[in-house]
Order: sequence, then C-alpha cells, then structure tokens
Amino acid sequence: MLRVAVDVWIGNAASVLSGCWGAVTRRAHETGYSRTSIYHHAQRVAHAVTNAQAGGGRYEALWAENERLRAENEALWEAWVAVEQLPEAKQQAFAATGSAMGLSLGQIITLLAIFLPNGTGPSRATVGRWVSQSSRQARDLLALLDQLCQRWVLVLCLDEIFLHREPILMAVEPHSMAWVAGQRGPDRSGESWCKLLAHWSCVERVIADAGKELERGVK
Amino acid sequence: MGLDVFHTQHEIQRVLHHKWRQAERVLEAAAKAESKVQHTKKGGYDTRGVARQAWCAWRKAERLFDEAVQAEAATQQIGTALVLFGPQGTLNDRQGVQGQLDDAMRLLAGPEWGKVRRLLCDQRTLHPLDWGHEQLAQAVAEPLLREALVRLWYFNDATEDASDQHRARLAQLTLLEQVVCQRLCPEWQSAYARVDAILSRVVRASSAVECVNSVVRMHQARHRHISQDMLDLKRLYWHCRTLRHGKRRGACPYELLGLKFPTYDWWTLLQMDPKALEQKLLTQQVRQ
Repeated sequence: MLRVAVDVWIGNAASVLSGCWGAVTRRAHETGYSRTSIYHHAQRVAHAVTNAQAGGGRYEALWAENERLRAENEALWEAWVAVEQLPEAKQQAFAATGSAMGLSLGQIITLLAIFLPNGTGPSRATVGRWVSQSSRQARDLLALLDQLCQRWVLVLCLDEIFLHREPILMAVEPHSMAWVAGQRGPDRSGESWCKLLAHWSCVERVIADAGKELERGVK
Repeated sequence: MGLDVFHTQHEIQRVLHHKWRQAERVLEAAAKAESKVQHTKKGGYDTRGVARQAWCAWRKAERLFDEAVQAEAATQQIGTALVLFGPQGTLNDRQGVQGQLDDAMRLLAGPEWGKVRRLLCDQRTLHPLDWGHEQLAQAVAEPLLREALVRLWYFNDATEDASDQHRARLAQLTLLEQVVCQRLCPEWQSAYARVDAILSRVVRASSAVECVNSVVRMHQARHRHISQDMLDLKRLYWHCRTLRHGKRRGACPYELLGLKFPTYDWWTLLQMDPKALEQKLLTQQVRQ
C-alpha cells in the first residue's frame, strides 16, 4: 500500500531528474524526506515510467494472473480443508464397509491413519463402536429384507461352517448368490435347521451334502 | 432334497490325487532301485539281489500307475454322467445315468473309493434329474415338443458361454430347433418360457454355499470374534455388492433375486429406517 502521495513521489523525482544544483536539498527541506528517500523515489518513478513505455498491457496481464492464482489458491484451500476434516460419517462408512469386507479393527485403524492427520484418527474403541452400531442396524434392516426375499427364494443350498467350534448354519440361493441365512448356533441339529428353514416357506428344493441332521431338518 | 454333486466330485478328486501321488512315489522308488542295480553292475558285484528288488518295485509301480489311469478314466466317465444334458442336448434320465455310473464304479475298486461309491449309489444324487423330468412333463404334455424345447434351451444356454467359432454353429442349431418347435406347436414360445423357468432352477451342486463359506472363512481368520450382528452386517454388504465376473456380473444378489429397492448402495440402505423403507417399498409397489 502506498504511504506517500503520488504527487509527492513525482515532485521528488523531478527534483532529482531536473539536475539543478541544490534542488534535492531544497526539496528535502520542503517535504521533510531525507535525500536518500528522494533519490529512491526518483528511481522507482523512473522504473515505473520505463515499464509503462515497454508494454502497456503488462499490468492487466499481471492482474489477471493474480486473480487466477487467487482462485486456484482458494480451491486448493477448500480441497485441503475437506481432506483435513474427513467427516465422521465418512469415517463410520469406511469402518463399517471395511469390517463387512473382512478387515479387522486394527487394519481399519491403520488405513484411516494414512489419510488423517497425526493424532486425529479414531481410537480402536470408537471404530469398534461404529462397527457394532452398523451391525445392529444391519440386523434390524435384514429382518425386513429377508421377509421381502421370501417369495423369490425357491431353491436353497445349505451347509454349515464352524467358528470356534460353534456352527454357523448357511443358506444361499444359487441363482442370485443371495446369502439368505447365516445363523450362528446354537447347534446344527435337525431342529435348528427346521427352525431356520421355517422362515423360507416358498422353498421348493434344497441341495445339501449328506449330513444326517441337515436332512432331518429339511424333512 | 437333492444330494449335491460338489462334494462327490471333491471326494473323487481327492482320492484320485492320492492315487497319482502314490503312483509317482513308487515310480521314483523303482527308478532308484534301477540306478542301484546299475551302480552294483558297474562295481562288478553280484546284482541278483538288487535286481530282484528293482523288478518288484517296477511291477508295483506299473500296477499302481495302471490303477491311477483306470481311476482317471472312471472319474471322467462319472463327470460326464453327472452332467445335466447329454451331448445332443437332451436331458439325461436316471436310468441312463445310473447305468453309466454303475459301469464307472466297477472300475473304482478298493476301500478308498467307499465314500464315492456310497454317494453315487445314493438315490438323492440324481434327484434333480427326476425333479426336472417331472416338472417338464407337467409343463409340456407333448413329449416331442418337450424334447425340442429342451434342446432349444440347451443350445441357447450353450451359446452364452461359447466362443465365436462355436457360436455360429450353435446359432444354426438354435434356428433349426425353433423351426421344429414352430412345426410342432405354433404357440411354442409360452411353452418355452415354462421350460426355461424349470431348467434354470435345476441345481445339482451346492458350490454356491461353498463359495460363500470360503469368503466367511477368510473373514474369520482376521476377526477375533464374529457375532450374529456382524454376520448380518456381512450379509447385507454381500447382498448389495455388485458382482464383477461370471454370468451374474453387473448386478448385486438383491437385483438378481428380483427385488426392487430405491437404492442398492449398501451404506445408504443401512442408514434407512426399516419402517420408512418398508413404507417406501409399499408405495413403490402400489405405483407399479
């Protein structure tokens, strides 16, 4: 910002450039500026006039360039702020999706730490709470969605797998690959299978291995 | 209830692999015995003892190798018999298939094939064929038309996975079958729709559930504990995940099942209130 009026600058420059003996001293007395300042002002005025003579459009070009850079700077700031403050909802979605895909809590935290600033990542307990909350939501939602699936499921492939010695009763509709049941425990008896299959009233055919209890449940 | 052929084929492959491994081991032992004979001969010693050993080893190796080759041929025969359609596009029937299986099982001697024999003799193994024939007979009463429609379905199904070279030939066969169907019944399209609905539901293997099992097993290796709610989370994600490969590619299980949802994005769906979603779906059904 200019702190000296333009006419004072030009006057100071004129006193230097006129070449009269004592003009600079007199001008220094009149304006109160030091002789050094007056010579400095003269240099800058001469420089500005030379620039103006060299190309009149340069100032406008610089102004346009300045505007462009300002806009770019603003956009970068906005982008940075968005990355910097990754909303918690996004972090929750990341944690729940990761867990549904089979990542452990430790792996989710490690991945979150890559793109969150140091020390701002969620704790293990927080991620665990997010995953638990999403799991509960999934349970409530599936109670409805499984009902809606019922009339479309006509064939089922049944099997069981074990998780820490506890069986998980599995049922998959083979044409769509819909995983219609994944019931953990209590056992793999015929009664448990029967109870599970009771939800799927439209099933016409069942394909399974030669498990006796499973067969008993189907019958 | 049908007995799945996935486990049967898995057991066949397991025993066959064991047979080949055994044959390879004995062949290696025979080769070693042979080199020992050569070594002894070079040293100028009496080779009668080691030569006898080598001869016995070769005899054993040949016997085991022949057994493995025979088992391989029998398993190929079983594989062909367990396929739903014959080479001409006709639906296999129990009698024909059971005959082929009996022939193949005669070659599978020994206690190691006990489980395979038991599974192949089980009545439930060929239950899907019985079911298919039963349903087709109900859907299309005229036997000639039924056979023609089944062949047409077979050619259409084969065209989907065929290479360009075979596709042209299959297209000709399909056209021929369409002409036959047209001659037999001018309204053959409706009958074909019924046949399509039945044949696309014939399932013999539980490989679909084994596929999901393998995914869950991978997950359980990383999670310390999988609760019922966690299983539900995985199930919901699985249902909304678009399949990338195979004949189901480009759609998620819910879409393939025929369910119409406002969105198949699993996170958006998860954030919905179940009651609000139910209301939304009811409104959607009423509009349709």
